[in-house]
Amino acid sequence: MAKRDNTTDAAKTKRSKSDDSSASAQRRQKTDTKFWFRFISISVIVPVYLSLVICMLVMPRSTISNIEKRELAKFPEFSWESYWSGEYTDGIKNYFDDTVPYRDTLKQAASRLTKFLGIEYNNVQVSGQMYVVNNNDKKDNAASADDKKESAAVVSQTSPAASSVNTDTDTESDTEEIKPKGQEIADGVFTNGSIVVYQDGHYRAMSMYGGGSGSSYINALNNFAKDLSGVRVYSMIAPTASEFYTPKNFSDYNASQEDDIVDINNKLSNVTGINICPVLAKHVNENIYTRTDHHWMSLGAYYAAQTFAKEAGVPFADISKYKKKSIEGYVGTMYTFTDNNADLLNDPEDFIYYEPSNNIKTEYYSQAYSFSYEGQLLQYIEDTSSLYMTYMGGDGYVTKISTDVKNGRRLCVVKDSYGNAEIPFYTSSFENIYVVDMRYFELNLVDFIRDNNVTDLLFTMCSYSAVGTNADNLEVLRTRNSAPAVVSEEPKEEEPDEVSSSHEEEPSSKAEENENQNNDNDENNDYNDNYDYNDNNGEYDNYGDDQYYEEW
Amino acid sequence: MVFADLFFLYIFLPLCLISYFAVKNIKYRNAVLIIFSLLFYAWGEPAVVFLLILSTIVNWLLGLAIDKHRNDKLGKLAVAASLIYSLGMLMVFKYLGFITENLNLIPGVNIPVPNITLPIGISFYTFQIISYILDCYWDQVKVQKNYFRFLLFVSLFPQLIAGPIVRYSVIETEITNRKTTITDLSEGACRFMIGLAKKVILANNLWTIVEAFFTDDITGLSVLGTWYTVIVYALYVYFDFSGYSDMAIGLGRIFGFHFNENFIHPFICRNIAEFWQRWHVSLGSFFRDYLLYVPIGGKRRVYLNLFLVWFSTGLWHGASWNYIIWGLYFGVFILIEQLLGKKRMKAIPAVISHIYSKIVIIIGFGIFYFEDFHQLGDFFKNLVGANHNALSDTIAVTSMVNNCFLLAVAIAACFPISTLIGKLTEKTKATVAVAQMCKLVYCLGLLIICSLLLVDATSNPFLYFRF
Repeated sequence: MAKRDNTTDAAKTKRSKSDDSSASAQRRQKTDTKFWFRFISISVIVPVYLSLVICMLVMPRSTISNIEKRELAKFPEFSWESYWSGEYTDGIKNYFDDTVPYRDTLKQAASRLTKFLGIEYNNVQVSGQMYVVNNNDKKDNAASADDKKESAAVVSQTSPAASSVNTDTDTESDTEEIKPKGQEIADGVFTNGSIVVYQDGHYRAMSMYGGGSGSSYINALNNFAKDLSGVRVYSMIAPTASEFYTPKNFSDYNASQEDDIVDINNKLSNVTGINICPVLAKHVNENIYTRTDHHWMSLGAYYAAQTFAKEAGVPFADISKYKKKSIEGYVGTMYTFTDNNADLLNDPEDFIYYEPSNNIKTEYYSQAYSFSYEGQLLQYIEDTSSLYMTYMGGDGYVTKISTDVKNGRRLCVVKDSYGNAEIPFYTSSFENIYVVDMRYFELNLVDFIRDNNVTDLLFTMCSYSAVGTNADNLEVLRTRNSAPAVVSEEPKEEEPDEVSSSHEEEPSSKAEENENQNNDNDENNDYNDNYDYNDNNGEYDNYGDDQYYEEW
Repeated sequence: MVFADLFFLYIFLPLCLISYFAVKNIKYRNAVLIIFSLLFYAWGEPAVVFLLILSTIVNWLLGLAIDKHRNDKLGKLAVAASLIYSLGMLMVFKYLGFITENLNLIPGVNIPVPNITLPIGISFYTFQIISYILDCYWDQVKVQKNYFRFLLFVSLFPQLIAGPIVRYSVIETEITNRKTTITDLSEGACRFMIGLAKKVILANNLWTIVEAFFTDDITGLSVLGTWYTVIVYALYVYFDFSGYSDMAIGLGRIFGFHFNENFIHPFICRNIAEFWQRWHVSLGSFFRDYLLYVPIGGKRRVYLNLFLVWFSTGLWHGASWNYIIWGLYFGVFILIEQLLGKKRMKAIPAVISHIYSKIVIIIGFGIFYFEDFHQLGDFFKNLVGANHNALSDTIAVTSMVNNCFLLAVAIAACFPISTLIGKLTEKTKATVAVAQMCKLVYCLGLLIICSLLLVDATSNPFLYFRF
């Protein structure tokens, strides 16, 4: 049975094939034209193809890419091991593919071609991994159904009026968000949950904010306040750049951080919730956020610190009392997060920070609070893509700062990397500052605060940490049974290797910077002569800020 | 090595073509093809190429044995040995990890899961070998007495790693007696360039959309976004795979081989049975000829065989349950269509049957995509908005508008437009001339665009490599 079916089938295919060929032969005889044009075709295709081949082979191969700022693949070295693993042959293929003559020019031409895939919609191009804006999260988790209805009703009532106001003037109102940049439309791409937009002559990359209720943050902070009666507890959540600089045409990709912050603050009890969004909104035309990194600039942190100092009733030094420092050629973490956006890489910014001029002593401790070394508050960072690590070298250590202030106030800052930039501005406000990272600290935080007679406890981290999974760790810090500090043990390095952005800088400028930085160190280093940062340099390098982003 | 790669296009292929056409004698031409085919395979699998050679030696010898002992037990034994060898190879290299993982689900069983990398193209060339052995045994083809000719049949690089599954009967005579005519050369070259464009221009760009939306967590994707992405994915698989088949068929023609068509505009089908007569024809016909009509299961033969065919079709695509479900899913619809009967199927209005078949196919591709059952569940919920997901979202809409031309071209390319143009222009000499010249310019343009895009692309492996 099987045989027969098969036979007929095979016979059929054979017959149809012979039919086919005889038919095509007939047709060929009938219309010679087709044949002749095929002949012409082939006599065009062959020379064109061969000349392309010759061009590819003969023309000088590219060695570096200026767009991507990297060296291109090299011809692999032969070894039997690499041959059998397939690496060698793969290497040859990669070498050939990567070092095409005039690579950059061709690549640019190709990227122009991709514009033909479709039309830009609201000036937005989307690419990379998508990301979902959970505007509903907060409502689902925290607010009751009635609240939802109410707020929806409020929005629908006020929005027509609000929009008409907006178009005329930049009127401020209590409920309205002030987003001068947000009113504009800007060209940009949406990649992996971040956007790169062209604003005021520069590219700015921002992570979009998905929203969240922050319930574990609220819960943990309220519990801290209960456990620590007598200690003033504050919450100052830092909004990220997307709150202020997201163009109108990208607003659907981004949830409001201020809404969440206000929501959280309303639910805190015995904790002073500080909303710095209105403060920062007034300064959006200043350099308060980095364009190329996921953090803020020192100046943004300054305005935040000022607001906190006012709330805490402590003295606060004006920014003019600080030494302004600037490092050129900064392209931060957003370059990697946006799948190596070339526009961003080719539009570096200056990294600006402020050095306190009063006398301070900075001690670094392991995450279990055993003394490591005494060093500078603001450190020299060699890798320009990680310049944000200037503040205390990143998040690797618990930091204790002793200042010349005498007011009996001792501050403990519980923070993520956003908080780092605020620390220099507290040196004229508190006698002692203890800086603890909410993700890595290994002791019981309540005990730590009691043991060190802390008077003021500030939780300051970015909105992502407050509403995201990072906040879960706060309750762990409060409740864990910590073993007594083990003396003289280096902190264990648990984080994965820093995500290095493949970004090169010119060697000459690097050397210059290096020198400048050395001089700076000498100037301000009256009190710790013994400190040689080179010895420690390797250690800070392990604490890149990049990987923390993933935990947001 | 893959076809859609600058190294292949501008070093390997020209070297191969020049060497091939530099010699006239078919023996030398075959030698050139064997050398380049093995080189092609060894480029990606320097060690596993010996497995390929071993398989050809074993099965060539078994083929000789079958021929010699056609009427006695030894012949049957040889067939059995060959099948055990071929299926055993697939078992070990493709399914061992999957099998042990599933055995480990039984309480008390804890076998270490072996980490075996799948040799490229093993599913394709093993099936070619099986078809040869069975055809020999059933006396459909004459046994190949010359080892190198058999090696050429199995290792021929155009179809070696991603099909089509070429039957020995199709190229039996062409192995020893073939000519490349001007028509073959011109049509083959154009076919190759069109296939390349399907892969590089359409499939690669469609993939970036799929990759963007079908992430690890798809719970937040809107209803519109889910449908959009799965449709884009269906188009992607079609252009990726049929592009590769086009390139294989085109290259084959350049060397004087005439392979059968592998994709015949599958998306214009009216029902699922028709879809499978148009989609990956070489696989469908393989199972039809070598499994469907093999008498197993007695009275309930039809149903058991149908089950086996669709179970195997699913399993062939990957060592994961979702592929098996995918295969059986199509099997169920084909059974329903069979039970309804041809007459009643034809009576269904065209619009309804098109909508029915497209929805079944599109949802099928969702099953095909999600190997993880949680994700697959989310996918189904997303389709109907049962995941508390929105009906539409800005990002999906933006992506649609951003890629509107790509999508329009991709959808248009699912229809037999070139055949239509061919028919329309066939009437006068002048129109034929214009059509031919346009085709030439069009194909060369595609080659240049593809080369540019390949400079831009970092990596673009073919999907069907996995199988």
